[in-house]
Amino acid sequence: MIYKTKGYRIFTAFNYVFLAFLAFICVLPLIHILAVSLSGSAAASGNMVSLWPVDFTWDAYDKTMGNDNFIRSLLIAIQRTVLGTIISMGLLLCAAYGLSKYDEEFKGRKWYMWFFVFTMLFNGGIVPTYIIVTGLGLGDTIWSLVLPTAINAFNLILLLNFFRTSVPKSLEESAFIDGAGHFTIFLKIYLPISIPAIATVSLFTMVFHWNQWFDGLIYMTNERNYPLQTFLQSIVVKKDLSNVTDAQELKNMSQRTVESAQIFISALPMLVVYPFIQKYFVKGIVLGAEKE
Amino acid sequence: MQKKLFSALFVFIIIILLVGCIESSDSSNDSEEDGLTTITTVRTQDDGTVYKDGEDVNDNVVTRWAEEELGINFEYLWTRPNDEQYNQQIRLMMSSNEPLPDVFQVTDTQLIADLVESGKVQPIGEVIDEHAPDRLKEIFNEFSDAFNQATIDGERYGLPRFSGGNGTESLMWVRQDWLDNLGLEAPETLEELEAVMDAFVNEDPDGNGEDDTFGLLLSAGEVGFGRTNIGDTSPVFGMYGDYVPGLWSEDENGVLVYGSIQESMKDGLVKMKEWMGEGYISQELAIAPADQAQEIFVSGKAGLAFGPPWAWDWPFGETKTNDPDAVIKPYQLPSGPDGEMGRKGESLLTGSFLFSSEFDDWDKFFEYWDETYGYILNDSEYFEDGLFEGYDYIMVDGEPVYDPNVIEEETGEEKVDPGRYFLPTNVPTFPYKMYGLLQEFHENPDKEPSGAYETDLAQRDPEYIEAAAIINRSNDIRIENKFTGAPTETMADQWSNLEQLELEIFADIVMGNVEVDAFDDFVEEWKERGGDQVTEEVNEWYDQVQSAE
Amino acid sequence: MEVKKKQKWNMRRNWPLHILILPAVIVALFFQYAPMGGLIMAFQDYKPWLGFFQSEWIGFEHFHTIMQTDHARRVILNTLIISVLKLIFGLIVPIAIALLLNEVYHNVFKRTVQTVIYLPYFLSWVILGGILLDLLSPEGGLFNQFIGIFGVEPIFFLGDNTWFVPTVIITDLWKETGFNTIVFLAAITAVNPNLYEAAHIDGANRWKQTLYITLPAMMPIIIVVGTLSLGNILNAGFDQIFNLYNPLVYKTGDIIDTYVYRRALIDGDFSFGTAVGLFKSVISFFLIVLGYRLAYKYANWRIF
Repeated sequence: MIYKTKGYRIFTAFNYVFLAFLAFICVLPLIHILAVSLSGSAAASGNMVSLWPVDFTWDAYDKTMGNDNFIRSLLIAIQRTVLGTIISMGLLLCAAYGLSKYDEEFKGRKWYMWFFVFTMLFNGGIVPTYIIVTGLGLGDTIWSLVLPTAINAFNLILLLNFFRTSVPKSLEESAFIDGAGHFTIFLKIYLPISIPAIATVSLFTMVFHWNQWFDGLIYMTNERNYPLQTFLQSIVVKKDLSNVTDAQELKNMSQRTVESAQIFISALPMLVVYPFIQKYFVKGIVLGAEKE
Repeated sequence: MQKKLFSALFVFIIIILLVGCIESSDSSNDSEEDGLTTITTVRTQDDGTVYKDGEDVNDNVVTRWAEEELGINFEYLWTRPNDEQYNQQIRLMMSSNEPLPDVFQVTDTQLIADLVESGKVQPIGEVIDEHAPDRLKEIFNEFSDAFNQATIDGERYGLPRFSGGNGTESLMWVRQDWLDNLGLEAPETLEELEAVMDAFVNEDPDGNGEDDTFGLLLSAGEVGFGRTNIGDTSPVFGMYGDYVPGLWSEDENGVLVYGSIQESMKDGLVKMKEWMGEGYISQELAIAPADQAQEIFVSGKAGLAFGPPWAWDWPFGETKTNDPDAVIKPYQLPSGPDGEMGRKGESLLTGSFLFSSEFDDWDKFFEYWDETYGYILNDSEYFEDGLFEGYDYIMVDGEPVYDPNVIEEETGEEKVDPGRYFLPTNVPTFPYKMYGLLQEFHENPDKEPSGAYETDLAQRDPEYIEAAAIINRSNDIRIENKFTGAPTETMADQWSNLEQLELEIFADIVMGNVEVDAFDDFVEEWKERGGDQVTEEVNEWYDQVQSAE
Repeated sequence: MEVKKKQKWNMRRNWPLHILILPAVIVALFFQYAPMGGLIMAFQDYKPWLGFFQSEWIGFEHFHTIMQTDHARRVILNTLIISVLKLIFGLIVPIAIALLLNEVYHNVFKRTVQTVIYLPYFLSWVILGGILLDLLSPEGGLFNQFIGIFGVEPIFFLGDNTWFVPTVIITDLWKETGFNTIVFLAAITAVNPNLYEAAHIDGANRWKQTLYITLPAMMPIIIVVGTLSLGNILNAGFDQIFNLYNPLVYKTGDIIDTYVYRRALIDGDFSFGTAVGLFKSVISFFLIVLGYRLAYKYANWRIF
């Protein structure tokens, strides 16, 4: 349906311009970072680069790819994201199936529910959590990044709402009548129907793990085990310049082109993953929000 | 199709899990049986520490040297890239009752006090008397103030990690080519300084026909006034009195007072506000972190900067890359209206080494400590030509060469500084040693350097040597921080609030958000909200250390 | 009939459900509940080397201190201001943009914009912190260069107490808007086209259609997103603030989480930090219960 009133045409013109501008603002920082990373280092440290490289060079990327610490932290980040997503999704899906039953159907559901919701609100804070994690011998291992964050009540609620809305009750009931148990129904009916939901929440979890830096800082005693964002945070972003007492240190700290290259590379994987999940994603989130 | 995709994903996951196996930090086998003494430690490892391929913190030329020559096996339990994270990790270790390393450096005085209170570290006063070699004792006695940082209830707990004494103190770096373009002389007084800044801002010193230049680089971002080193603001306050923000100095009566609440601050702040109004200094002064602030000098938009001699190597040297015609020269700071000069004095030490109460291999430890000092004392059986051949020097025709360019040409590898692999995270030094030597070389160009350390120094750039000489010649204008102890009781509770007040009012005055009279209200509020109490406690501490000596 | 079915259901054995929930319960017990024991240090003058059992009990002293310390009170206020603003704008702006996007009939353009505006969502605050520091720098920062074209003096977005909070809100919007827009847009496309047809015939213009058809149709999802974020009310965004703030803007930008971090891990005052954190949890607890009740009462929607 096309509307041909004059007012609407003017609106449309403005609308296009505005949205284009919005889109531009959203990519601008990445373009800037890309431009800096491809510029000569003197031009970059003089803040002379805006949206186009000055003194074009691949130097920063050569250096980044030759930096063992960067590559190692990148691999650890991939590992943590994959492992973290699998574990978290496994636990949450099982739990969400149980909790998607109604209070009348499943006695004790209410208690479980509050048990998880409570974790959204209260936590022991950094130090007690640290004591537990290291006390369990998980310090400095990938498990310290994966297990403490595995249960996310928010995602649990999303999943159970997906389950409630996307699986037709009648389908489930007839399966029961045919003699199927909970496990069969969960695996054969719930999971296949809920692929959009699973993709959506997996994406949330992946983005979370990929971007998480604070736990790496605390649990990884060995700096070599830092995941990517922790590595970036400690080396690129939070620099401690007031204590610097010599030129070499300050110089190595302030390589803007290399920093930009690292930032750009670290942003890439998420940008690549999204389009593959996108089609499920939109479906998943809308279903989850529909009223029962 | 979908199945294929999933199985591909599955294989990918397995590969990742297999390949990316995280290194476990197994405590390596105790090697007592080889007659080696194992000393565990931790350290900060900043970006300046570069290893050759295949070497790392636990296996490098220094650890091998310690193992082979001294029979000490150093084991680094972990490293952290900066002090904040390092301190945080020590706190976490303490909070979860993990055993502390045998030896470790701490820079945070509150942390030192907490560690001492926990009883997990031991006093070392007697240990030093008993085990330290004489030449180390001499240095310790000469700079005995450095022990104050970790002296609690009259007991010494920390071994000072000395700084260069005046290594990071400011002088004035000037774009000589701009001066020459405009036919000006380097400023020696405040008046001349303002004239030069005015010319730099308004007379297009770089000749590009654009009004795009500043006079002076100053930076107080993130850490506050008087606390940066590149773009140091302390010389501005130093022109009006003997106080620098953030430092405790003695007043006429020998009592410690806090620099930031002294009358003379007002003059410095008003000056900077004025300069900002004239466009002499960047408006970003109070916010940009130093690495951003320095850009205006590096990119050739500012003609003057207060900074330490080593800033010559970086970042100021970078200016030449952007503008090959740039000529940068070091000068003494300009003097104030009454001819006064002053700069923030570097602390005698960067931190103290503490020792776990379990530790008792003192002779081994001090043997190591003593040998590492052998290099700068020019009295060592190991470091005659330099630290380690192939690292900080190479031999060409039987002669040691230290020049990084020659080394890179000859070996195809960049020169690396193995001094940073030592326990103190740098070549051990003591105050005034380095710039003292550089001053001698500057004043007496014919002086023959003796030993590796001196030869290395004598080959530095002339600008750097001159800058060091300027600093060392004027040690009388240093304004030192006399309070180096742990935060006092009231400090622990109130200091962050008080510092907050200070940061805000200083920035507000300079940016013109409030009138300068607000400073008086700030001083009143500061005193009322615990400042007076803190001053009292600081002086109690001062009296105590004074009388101990 | 209905009743019969339910009875049947209840007679079925539910043990597999317990088994399925058990692993998640165990993990939560270890990593969420066990550390909560540490909350007792909020009532102690906790010294790590003495442990929980020997540290001195001081009751509610830390909570008194919170109420009496200017900065602590300011921090609580800051947290509320920032999170409430984020909540409001975080709903309005994506809805508005989704509505605008819905008016675009050029499919390639629509899809491009849609794809591009979600981009910042995937960048961490660590990365964005680095980028923003650079972009917003008053000296040669791209953004200030841009507003300079219009004769605006450079602004210290991250160092000025007046500008810091708006900057935080806007950068947060910038990061999250695209993502939420896609959610809302999906809801709009689900609206039955026949409704518009009918309205058009009745003479309703595009604006009226939006007001009376599109928005009501989006209501459920708006309520869901809104109530879910209510539980986050006191999370003003540690990651964001921590990577953007500096001492100059503590006055307006310091929030509970950053304050707790500094007190506990930088100053080593674990008990006070824990007390502030507990204070926050208790308030959020009441807010989320309230949100749950309101959502049920007014939208007849159970959050969980």
